[in-house]
Amino acid sequence: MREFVTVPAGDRIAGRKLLGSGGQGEVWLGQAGGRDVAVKVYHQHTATTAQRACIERVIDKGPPASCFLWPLTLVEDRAAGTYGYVMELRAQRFRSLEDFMARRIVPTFRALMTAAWQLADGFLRLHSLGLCYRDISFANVFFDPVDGDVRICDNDNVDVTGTTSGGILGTPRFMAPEVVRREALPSAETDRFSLAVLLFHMLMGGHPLDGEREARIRCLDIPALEKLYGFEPLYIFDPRDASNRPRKGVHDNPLAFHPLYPLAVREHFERSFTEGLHYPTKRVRESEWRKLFARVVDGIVPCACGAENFYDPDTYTSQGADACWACKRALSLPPRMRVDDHVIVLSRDAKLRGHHLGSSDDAAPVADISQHPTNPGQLGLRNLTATAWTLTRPDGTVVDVPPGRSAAIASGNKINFGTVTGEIRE
Amino acid sequence: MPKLPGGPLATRPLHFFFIADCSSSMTGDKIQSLNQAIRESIPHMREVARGNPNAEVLVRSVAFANGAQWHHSQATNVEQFEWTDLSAGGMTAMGRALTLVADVLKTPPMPERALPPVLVLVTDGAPTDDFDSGLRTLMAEPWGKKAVRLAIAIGEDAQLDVLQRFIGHPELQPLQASNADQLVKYIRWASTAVLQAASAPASQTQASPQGVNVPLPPPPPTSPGGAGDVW
Amino acid sequence: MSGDLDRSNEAARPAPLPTLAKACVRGAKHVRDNRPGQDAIASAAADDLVALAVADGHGTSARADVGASLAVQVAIEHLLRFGREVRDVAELRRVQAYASHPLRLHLVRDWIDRVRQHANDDAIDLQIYGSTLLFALATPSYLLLGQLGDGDILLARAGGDLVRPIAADPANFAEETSSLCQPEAWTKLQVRVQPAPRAETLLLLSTDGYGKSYASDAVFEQIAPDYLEMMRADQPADVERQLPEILDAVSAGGSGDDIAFGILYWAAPKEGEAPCASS
Repeated sequence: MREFVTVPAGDRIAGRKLLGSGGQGEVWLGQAGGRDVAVKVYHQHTATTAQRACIERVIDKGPPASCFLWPLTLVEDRAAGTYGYVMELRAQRFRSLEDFMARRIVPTFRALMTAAWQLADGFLRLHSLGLCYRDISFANVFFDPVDGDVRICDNDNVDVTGTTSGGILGTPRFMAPEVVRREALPSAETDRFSLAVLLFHMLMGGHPLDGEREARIRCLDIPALEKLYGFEPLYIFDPRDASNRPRKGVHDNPLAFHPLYPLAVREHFERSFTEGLHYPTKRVRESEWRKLFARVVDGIVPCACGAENFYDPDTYTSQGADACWACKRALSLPPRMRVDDHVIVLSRDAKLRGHHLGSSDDAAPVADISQHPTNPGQLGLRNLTATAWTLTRPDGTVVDVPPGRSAAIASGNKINFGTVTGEIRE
Repeated sequence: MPKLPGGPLATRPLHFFFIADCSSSMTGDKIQSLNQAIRESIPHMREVARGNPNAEVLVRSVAFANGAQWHHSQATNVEQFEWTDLSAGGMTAMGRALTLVADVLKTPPMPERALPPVLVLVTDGAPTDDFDSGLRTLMAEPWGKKAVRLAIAIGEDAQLDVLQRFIGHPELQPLQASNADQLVKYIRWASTAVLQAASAPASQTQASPQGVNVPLPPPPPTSPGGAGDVW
Repeated sequence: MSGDLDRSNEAARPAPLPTLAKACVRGAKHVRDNRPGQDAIASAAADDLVALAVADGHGTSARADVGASLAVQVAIEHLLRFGREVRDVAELRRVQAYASHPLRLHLVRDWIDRVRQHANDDAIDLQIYGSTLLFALATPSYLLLGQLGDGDILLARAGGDLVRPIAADPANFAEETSSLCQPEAWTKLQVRVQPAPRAETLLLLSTDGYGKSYASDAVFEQIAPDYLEMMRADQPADVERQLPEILDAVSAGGSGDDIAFGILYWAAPKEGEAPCASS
């Protein structure tokens, strides 16, 4: 068991159980005054003064958003002669990206898109604080496969943009090519590349540059790896050069997932890993990713067979309804609501969030779908906010929708949310 | 025998539970057949245990009717285990029986390195209490999830879907005993063939979320019963 | 806390290499049933590297013995290559990063390739060859440990200090284990790099048949001080001679399972040598 002492307060925290251990340090389950917390403590050989200063800076800045498991207080382990920090315990519901890649969890597309949105949003907030990542990997990203909530951990590799990093640590799979080539320092622009790589892992279950060329590297060949990720990177789905396509039997995840996503998603990834490889300013910005994922989530249409399909209002035509990608039967489109330039398919899992109503702030839902208590076929939009909405029927009558109550989803109904108004169409 | 480094060796405990329906409908020849079937199995269980010295087979039993009680409450090595007859009368508190078992499958008292426990549920009717709640409590325990769960239905009135949920394994069905012979056969299978399989230290990867960790032998085939013995 | 300057001085002095003793026995149950063992062990000492690997093929897999055997062979090859490529590294974080990728990935992919070759079938169900894998690589500057699936890695020092450097995987419970045959198994292979030991240290690597022969982890860990004493007092070859009998007795009186067991021992620096780094 370990004993930690907070700095400067001097409070004791008992380290009860080792939760995980990695190259930088260990994570312990700690007890602080009756509360369970997580304590990351560095190994003696990684507990440098520079890293300690970095942690102190990070603690001072505070978390950019609630999805970051942020260092809260510095602690010392005097017996072991090392230091670390306290953070919130990550709840059991959060699973690693690795679990997804290994298909130990099978989230819905909705959960994946929601998680992708939160990841992009998290990066945006991090950058707006003047911070960036020196070293991120998919082992740092966790999400709830049920609702898509994200947790980003190991934020002790965050530092002020432009800080000289200690050099590249090992295989630079998540770092921008110009950083691998030592031509640039970590910055928001290089982070955008890392974000794109993370998102690719999240949606495609693999690495965007790991294809035929990667499959040929059989052992630790550092120059070959630097070539693959830095000097001659090539997207596995590059439209003009097929020499790095995923190899069947080795890179099966991207082969399976890539065709399932809407064109817009595939186009964003293509831009990230063609022009984005060589021109940092051409990389997809966090706000663009957010807009993309919000749009894609809004357009999810469930099929009776259980598969989730994607509906794009720009390409959908009313004659020749789309077919489900899984069972091939015709999809029936539920009613949609238009709010500003958002079009949200009102299926049973649909949610309206802050960004639909104009406040870019929150991921928290402001409305979800409820079922009429006596008429199961009738769905409604439930008010999850603290203020009342007003419902205007096609005949002009107006009715209040107080918090907790639901407005019937019927064609022509308009709902005034306060800041904006949405209209329902079948 | 060299002086071994470290502390005392231990064989691995294998907890075996008979969970028996003692409701009124079991009165008479059904409960007597069950008692008889279990008594007859014990010498064979001992033989299996002797052939697997690295597993320590510990037996207990639960009786459920209006409520659920431990019939044999102390986990007893099968070598010393003596069966006391069950008597019938009352309802079918199956859910409560599972809650009782769940309680002793917590760690502690279950040791870290036990073999997967074996639970044999025998019933002739439908549960009269909150079965789902009891099952949830059992499955909330890691050892409950890992246990080999078998069900034997006596007669035609048992609810097979309830029993299938208890078993929780798509490839294993409740065994339906329509006469005393079949009951004996199934009890024998559960307490010997399954015991044999559960005694083997055979690690495996998770086959499916509900996968049973023990590779089970096939149950005995059903054969037409003796005349006048059908329930 | 020492400053960064102290660290670089220390790193300049190479640590001594460990001695090794190992054994692999068929479990008492397999002996009774006249069935082959499914555990495997392999080691190699080349130049200034020592590598050790143990593996436990799944009892329910038909070719588990082959799976385990391929696992330890592949592990030793990749470890030696890694040890030769990744040297004189000032920052152990780099070693850790390379161990995380691509070592884990290439090791597991290589195992899969060899299984497919053995089966002469690219679409073979890997579960048939399923196995766990534990390994250690000792170099003059670092110690690399890896674990996929159940089994135990213990690191002990004189004075009773004992740690399990790799955190328990919650997937390993009640006969269930993570395995090389699972999808993206490399993500479950935990690797841990730490400075090479400079004080008297004992590393024990074992498949789960050993640990399961004791009532609890705490009782099992009592083997450490005894093995430390044995390696201190005897020549490694003498210890190795005694191991099969010990392991047979453990299996017979305990789990009945196969046991693959290896020891790496770093002796205390002799008189006149520079004193050890603080414990």
